[in-house]
Amino acid sequence: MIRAFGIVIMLLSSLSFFGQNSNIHHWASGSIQHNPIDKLKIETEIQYRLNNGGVIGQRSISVDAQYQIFKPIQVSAHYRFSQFPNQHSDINHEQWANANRWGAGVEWAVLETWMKKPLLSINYRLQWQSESYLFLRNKNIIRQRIQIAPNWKKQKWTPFIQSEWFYRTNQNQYWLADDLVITGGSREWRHTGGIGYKFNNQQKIQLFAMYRKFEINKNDQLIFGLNYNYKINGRR
Amino acid sequence: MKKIIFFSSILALTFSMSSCEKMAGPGGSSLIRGHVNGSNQHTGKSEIVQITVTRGIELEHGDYFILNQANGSNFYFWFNNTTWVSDGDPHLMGRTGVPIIFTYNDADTTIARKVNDAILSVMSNSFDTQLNGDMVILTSKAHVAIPDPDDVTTSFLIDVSQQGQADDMDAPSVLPDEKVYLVYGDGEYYNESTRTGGTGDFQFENLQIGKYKVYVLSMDSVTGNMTQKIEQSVEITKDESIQELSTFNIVY
Repeated sequence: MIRAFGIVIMLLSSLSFFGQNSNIHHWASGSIQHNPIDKLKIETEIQYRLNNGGVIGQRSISVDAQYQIFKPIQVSAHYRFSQFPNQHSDINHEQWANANRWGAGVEWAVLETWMKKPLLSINYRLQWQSESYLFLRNKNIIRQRIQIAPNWKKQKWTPFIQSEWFYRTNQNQYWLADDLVITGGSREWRHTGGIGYKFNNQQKIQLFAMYRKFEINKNDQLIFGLNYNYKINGRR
Repeated sequence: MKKIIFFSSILALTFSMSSCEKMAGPGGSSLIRGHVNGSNQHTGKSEIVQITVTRGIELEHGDYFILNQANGSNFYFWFNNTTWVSDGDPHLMGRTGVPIIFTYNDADTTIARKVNDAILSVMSNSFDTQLNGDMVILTSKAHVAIPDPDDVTTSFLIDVSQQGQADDMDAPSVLPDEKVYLVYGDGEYYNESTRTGGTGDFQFENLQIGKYKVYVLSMDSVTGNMTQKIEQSVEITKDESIQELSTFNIVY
């Protein structure tokens, strides 16, 4: 336990060093997980995304439900309510702009399709999401993610790497004479590496570094994140 | 603990319901477009006439000069020395004669005052006058072109220092590169603006359902500045729709 906290503090110290760069962002989140039945997992998360200097760029609360329909396949539903600094406060005189996101996805544990207890876990996730904003166009996005992690059942530490691609189905919207033209396009890549630490059956943390490469602008971001997760019925 | 999850979900859904309200502004899929025509207004000039008079000793009984008006009602002003028994009126055809009684002892400033009074007595609707020593300065009240005056038999100096010119307005034509303003809802200040293209057309894209006001600026007829709002209101009632505005006709 003490070693774990030591490493966390060490990592957070490094964040403040990298935080001098304007493209360094910090994400912090806490989540509660509940498994009403063996195959169903419900997770509620509160997340803060901080820009350089500790200014809140986004804050959100989300609910995820994941259900394993059979061994290697898991489906999920997602909702997120988030708030951003309002860029159009001249219109509604509100400090924050709200957004709602709904999503659904499917995740496939690739190696477990053929192997009973593979040493490595390779998971592929396909997710659709639609997010509506008060003064921005809706974002309709298809996400594809692949994650690789070792299956260290008795280790408290679990490293992982993942890459995720975002394709926005309504990336471009413009009028051509009397016709509204909507076209899709690649929006973003997220390359993440991190490590999870399990304190016990109920509590775990995850530290990660993520590189967000945007296809629509040059404002790429390096993100350092910390997530704390508490599992209510941790004995399951 | 199940209750925590349950209430968290309810909380999230409550946020969801409270934040779904849409209002006029960006972030939609509708379009407002229109067209701007403009007429170029050339502002005319008043005619300014300067009459420099002489002393009474330099005038003779029967000397006269002529002044004209834009409406064609013209005058001649003749000098009448009452010590003379002969008729000094030149009796010009097509003009109205106005006598100015003088003596040989009159100073030039006295002659200037008498000329000023005589002009005001018949032409005050057409000219404003100003006395400046031996000068009478006439300024036409309207922007008009007036046939030139003449000193004829007097020794006065009569100059047209500014030729009158009528106001003029071109026929309306498409107005490129004109700024057009968009106001969301019932706001007082504009939220975004655009400019007309080469054909005088403009459009505002990505708008949500709601009420909007669009305006362009035209020349104020009193001040001559581009400050008069020409405004139209429009309401977008459904997504992915086009709202066509009437043509804006402005004066610049």
